[in-house]
Amino acid sequence: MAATNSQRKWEVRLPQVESVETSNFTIRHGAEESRVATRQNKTGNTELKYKKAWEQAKAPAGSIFMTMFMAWMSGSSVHIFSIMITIYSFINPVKAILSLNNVFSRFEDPSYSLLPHKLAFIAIHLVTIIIAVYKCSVLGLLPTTASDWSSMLPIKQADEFSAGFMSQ
Amino acid sequence: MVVKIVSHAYCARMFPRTSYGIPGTSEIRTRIGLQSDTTNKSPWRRRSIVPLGCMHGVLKENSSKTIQNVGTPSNAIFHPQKRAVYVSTDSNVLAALSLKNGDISEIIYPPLILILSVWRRVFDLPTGRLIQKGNVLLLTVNLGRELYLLDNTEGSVLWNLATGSSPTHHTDHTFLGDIDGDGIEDLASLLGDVVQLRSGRDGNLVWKSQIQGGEGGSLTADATSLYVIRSDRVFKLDIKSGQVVESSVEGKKGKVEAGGISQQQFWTAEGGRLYSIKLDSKQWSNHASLKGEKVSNVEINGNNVFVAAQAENQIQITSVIDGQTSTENIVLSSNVSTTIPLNKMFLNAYNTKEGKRGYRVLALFSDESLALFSGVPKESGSLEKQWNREEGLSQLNSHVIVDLPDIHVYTRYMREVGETQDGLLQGWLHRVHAQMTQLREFVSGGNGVDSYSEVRPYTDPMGFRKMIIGVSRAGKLFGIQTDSSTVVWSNYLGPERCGQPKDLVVVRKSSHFPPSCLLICSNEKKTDLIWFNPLDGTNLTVQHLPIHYKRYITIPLSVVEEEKLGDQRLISLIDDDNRIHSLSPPSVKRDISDAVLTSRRPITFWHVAELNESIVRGYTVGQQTRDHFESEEVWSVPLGSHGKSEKIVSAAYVDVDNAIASAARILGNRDALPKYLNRNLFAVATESSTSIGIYLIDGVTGSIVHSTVVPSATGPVHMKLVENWLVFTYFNLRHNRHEVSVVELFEQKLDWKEVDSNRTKFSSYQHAKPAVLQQTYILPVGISDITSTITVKGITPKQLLFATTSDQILAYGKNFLDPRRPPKEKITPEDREEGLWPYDPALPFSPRSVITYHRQVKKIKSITTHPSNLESTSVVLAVGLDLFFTRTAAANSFDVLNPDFNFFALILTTGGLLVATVFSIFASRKADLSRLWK
Repeated sequence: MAATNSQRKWEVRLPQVESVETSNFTIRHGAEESRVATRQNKTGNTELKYKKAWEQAKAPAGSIFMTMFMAWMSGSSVHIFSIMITIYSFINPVKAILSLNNVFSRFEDPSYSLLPHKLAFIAIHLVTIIIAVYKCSVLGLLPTTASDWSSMLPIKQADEFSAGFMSQ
Repeated sequence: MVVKIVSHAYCARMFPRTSYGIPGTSEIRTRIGLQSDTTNKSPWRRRSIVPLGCMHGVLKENSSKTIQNVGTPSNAIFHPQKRAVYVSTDSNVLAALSLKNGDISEIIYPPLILILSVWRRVFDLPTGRLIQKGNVLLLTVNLGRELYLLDNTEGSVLWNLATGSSPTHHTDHTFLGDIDGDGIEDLASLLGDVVQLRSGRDGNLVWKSQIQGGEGGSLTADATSLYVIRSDRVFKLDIKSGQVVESSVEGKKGKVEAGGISQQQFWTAEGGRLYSIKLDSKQWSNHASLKGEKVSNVEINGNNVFVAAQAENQIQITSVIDGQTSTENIVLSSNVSTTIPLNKMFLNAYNTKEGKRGYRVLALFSDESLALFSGVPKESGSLEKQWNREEGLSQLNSHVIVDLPDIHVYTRYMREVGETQDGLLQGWLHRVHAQMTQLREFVSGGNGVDSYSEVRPYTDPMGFRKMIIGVSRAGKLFGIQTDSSTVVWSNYLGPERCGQPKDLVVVRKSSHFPPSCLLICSNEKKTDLIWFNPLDGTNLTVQHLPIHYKRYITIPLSVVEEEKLGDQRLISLIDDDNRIHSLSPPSVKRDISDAVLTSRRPITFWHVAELNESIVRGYTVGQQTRDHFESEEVWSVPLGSHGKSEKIVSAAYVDVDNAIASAARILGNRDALPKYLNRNLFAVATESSTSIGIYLIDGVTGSIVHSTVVPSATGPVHMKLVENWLVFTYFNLRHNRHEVSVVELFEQKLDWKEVDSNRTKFSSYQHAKPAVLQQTYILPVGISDITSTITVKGITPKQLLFATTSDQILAYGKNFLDPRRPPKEKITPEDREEGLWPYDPALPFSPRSVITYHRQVKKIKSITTHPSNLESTSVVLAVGLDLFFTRTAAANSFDVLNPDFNFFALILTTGGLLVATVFSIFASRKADLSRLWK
């Protein structure tokens, strides 16, 4: 910046003007009025934001059915589509939950708490995750059966040793 | 890499009849069409002839190798016009060997097509005398009880008949002129005291007459009469009617066995002398005494008579030429024959175009190698060796498959040993050369390297190349490299160094260079231990023990203990008095192996199933005395029930080296069924008059884990015990068919607490009895041996290999023989998910399951499998009259790219992407720069 400044041929500096006393009143009045207006406005906005926050919180509910439908459509055999759909139905809710504060930052307001909204938001996404987990279990991807752990079974080594033969 | 077979088997007939009625008629057909690719001492570049209409049937790649043998000849006849020598051997083989190179299969030398009249015919019963005339051969089979007339070009049977003679009868046969007027030469036979004349067309009897007096005798004929020549009398028979005129003769004692007729005289060699008798005289005349014990046949060549006898290192040929007797000494010019005694020889004399006399000597040596020496004797008397066949390979007493060492292990060792003494550069070049060869092999898929002239004692990247070590019944060791199917080294030990060859054991594996093998031979007085390097037969050390050998046992060792023994296995011999002798390899002190065995004493047991008895005994290692350990009997199991006598006929043991990948079997409902994995388990089969019994016995406690009786069944019983299952075959008498049964053992319940490492041991004393599943299937053919494939990690599903009595190898996946296969109507989706097929008693015979393809591997006695470096693939060796080596992938070659894989497209795509990436990097940089300038 310094380099560019020094290269500049000319510079305009506007004089610092102090606030004009005369205009104070009207401004103050206007401010008074506008404060009232803003207060009314603010209460309206808050309600609106509150409502909007609920809407935001409930929005993912619509996608549950979509996820269920997709999961159903992809069938119970393990192939690329069923795996992709399962992975997406995991990733999307997790992503959404991680960006929770970001989503609700627009609706931040000191006058109310967004905690219920957020909880509801998380809960709905958790439902999606549960559907995805269920889908995994349908696909047999969950290590819930004995066969999934059979590799842990040791091949037993014999304590004793014997060798034999048939005599000719 | 992968053998691709496209319905090959529709062309080759899989199960030709080999019964002696019409012995292997279809073999002739296959002989014309399809050839085995490699035999002994043959050039590598051999290609199968493609039969008409069978083009797609020939294997895309030849991964299997065959060595065809004929056995040791008992009779031989030369046929110079056909450029063949016909041999009848003690392996029941009649073969026409090429005089040129000793081959029994035609070779196609592209582009020249040269078909020789060589062939081989295998009989079920012992083959005997051989007589030829014109284009036909007469062969006696089963001690003269059967006659076969064969065409000598193809070896096809023209007719055969039973003579009705008893095995004690002396028999002789000769061809006569055409007597019955059908245009074909007729045949006279002497069977004891009966002379028969048979039609040459169909073998029908023309006349028969009885002679009396004397014994033995030789049959010979001139234009009008037939003569039976015995040592004390001559019978003259009228050729048309068979009327007998008898006359007594003098001058010779002993039997007249065989001979020939020349100049109205009958010639025979007997008791070290050459005799002749004029057909119309009454006196034998003694022409010459033959020096040497081994006397050849009497060779008649027109008016000349020749006979050879071996005298020390040379052969004396006695010849009677125009009535003049003379002798000639010849030497068989062979570097080995001077040390290896001659067993038998067959002589043939001929005149060259220049009018010189040449000889052909087919010599059989004590090491069962068969060699042809021929030519005009040089001034020194030496005859040139034409070819050599190792017929000991037809009678292998024992054999093992040895891994070749890794190339790095090999070259490092060579440097250390200093065998490449030419310094660093030479060593480096040697290594580069070896690696280049390996690279070429790798690129060509392990198979395509043309030059097999050099011996490469290191493995290929896939581990398909192995070394087969075999010991023949005569006591000759062979090292055979499988890729070229050639004997790369051999060593005849002789009766002093090796009595009766019994067992071959790999003592040190190739991962610890140099590997070491042990051959155990024994006779009544002593046991011979021969240690050697299996890769080249060097470092041969012979030890003798004054014990009577029974068998050996191998005791598994920990890594530390193995290091003490120089990475070698601990082999212990059991003698007839059940004493245990722990062996120490030449490089290891005796005390160490004794100490190792002493430390293992309380937990080491051994057991013996006595053949043809009905008891199994178990012993433990007892007190050590001066040079051996005593055995203490700890258990004995009498087999059989209700006082029925059952005889042990077969036993099967778990192969401890066989890797197990999983301790449980996974079911369709995702449950795990734990396997009963008892490495001390062994199986014994017994046979009684009406049934067979199968017993699974724990080798430590002697408790019968499971037993089953198959009623109305008989042997031979073949068994294979792998992991937790046993497969056995028998013959079902009631239904007249071969059956195979599978017994699978599982733990009663799955105990997850076992995962806790404290309980990973299996003690025979505390273990609960297993749950048993069993199913039986019908086999399409008779079986001569069973084995199962072995892979490196044991992950690949097993495949069962059946050697059939029709000279093929059938491979069935273990899933065919699965006792969990449910009945067809009860099959559930879960069963399907588990991969279970509905139970079908008949094992399907699919041509694709024949892993010998179009070849016949004659008289397979045993099949052995060995892992390759690839988990998917194991190598298979079948040993019998022939040797056959191939590889099999039970679950397809999942770890190898398909040969159809489009490498070009892959390289093109990868290269294209690389270029595109580089280009786009430049392009984006340029774009960035130009954007900045805007």
